[in-house]
Amino acid sequence: MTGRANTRSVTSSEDQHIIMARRKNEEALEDPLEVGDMPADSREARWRAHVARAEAQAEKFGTMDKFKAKKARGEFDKIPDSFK
Amino acid sequence: MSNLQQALRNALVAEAICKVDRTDLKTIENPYITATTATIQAVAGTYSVSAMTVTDDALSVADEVVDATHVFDFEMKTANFNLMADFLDELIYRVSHKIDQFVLNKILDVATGAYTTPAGGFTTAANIAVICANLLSKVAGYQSGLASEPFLVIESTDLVGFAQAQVASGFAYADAALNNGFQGRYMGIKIYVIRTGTFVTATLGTLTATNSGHRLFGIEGMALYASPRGVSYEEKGVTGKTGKEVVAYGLVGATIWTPLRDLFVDITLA
Repeated sequence: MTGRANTRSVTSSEDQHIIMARRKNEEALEDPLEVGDMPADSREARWRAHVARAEAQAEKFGTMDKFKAKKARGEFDKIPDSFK
Repeated sequence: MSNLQQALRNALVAEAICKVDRTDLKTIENPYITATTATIQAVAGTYSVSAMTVTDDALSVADEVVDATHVFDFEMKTANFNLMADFLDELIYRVSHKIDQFVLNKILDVATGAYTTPAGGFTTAANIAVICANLLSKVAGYQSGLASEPFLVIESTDLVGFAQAQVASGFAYADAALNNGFQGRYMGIKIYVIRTGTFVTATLGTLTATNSGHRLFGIEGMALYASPRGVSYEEKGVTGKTGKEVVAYGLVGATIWTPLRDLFVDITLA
């Protein structure tokens, strides 16, 4: 292994396991999680529910254009710090 | 007897920018007429009749703010302070502050005017005049626009650009800012500064606020908030404990009447 510390070939079952996990992550990125995929009380699930409620509220307040503009700007893509 | 040192308190501004109703009403009705269009024509003496539309609009008091604690008898007797009075004072402030935050966020959420600042927002001094000019243009031309009292609510972190702009432009105005510090007015707009983190993306009672990174501009006295009988408190003995339980609470509802919503601008910081 001298001189090849960072270029080892991937053969062991442990490495196969890592590769599988990476593939799973890549697939997950391509196929975003649904609310049902995560615990209902997780921060992300609560965030999605919050955004859904905000949309319903915008409909009620007559501010749907503003909600759509916020969404288009990506304001709901990242969970803000103020959201506990 | 001396008082306990209080934690730092935030400025409350909702009462300064809104009309406040403290009556016992749970719902305030305010239907409005949809504007009709007058016809101009060559003199003929004839006209057509169109129906006038009246739409319901109401403000409901649907949220309450509560904060409570317990003071044991031995604490009251052995403290060098009037604990009951100091705790109550703190509870009432906390309830008032939450009401203030709710009102500001509710008004910002229902405002229909929209404006996005240049990059840097209020923290860049060169942006201040540009932003204020744009905001004023949003309400100019209305009877209740510039002729009334425009206001802007910014957070403490936004003060950086404002303070620099104030000392750098004008003569007497810049001198006043240099001598006395932050000026509460800029281009005729009253500036209210609240602590950072007041505009939130969070659940506030029945309100699903999405206001993180947003600020509020509008006309004073055009938004309404209802706080029936203001903030109340109770002291009561409870079973199983000596001393008293103290609770402060207040009811709240807030809105901008539908025809006036364009007078309020939701500012997005870029």
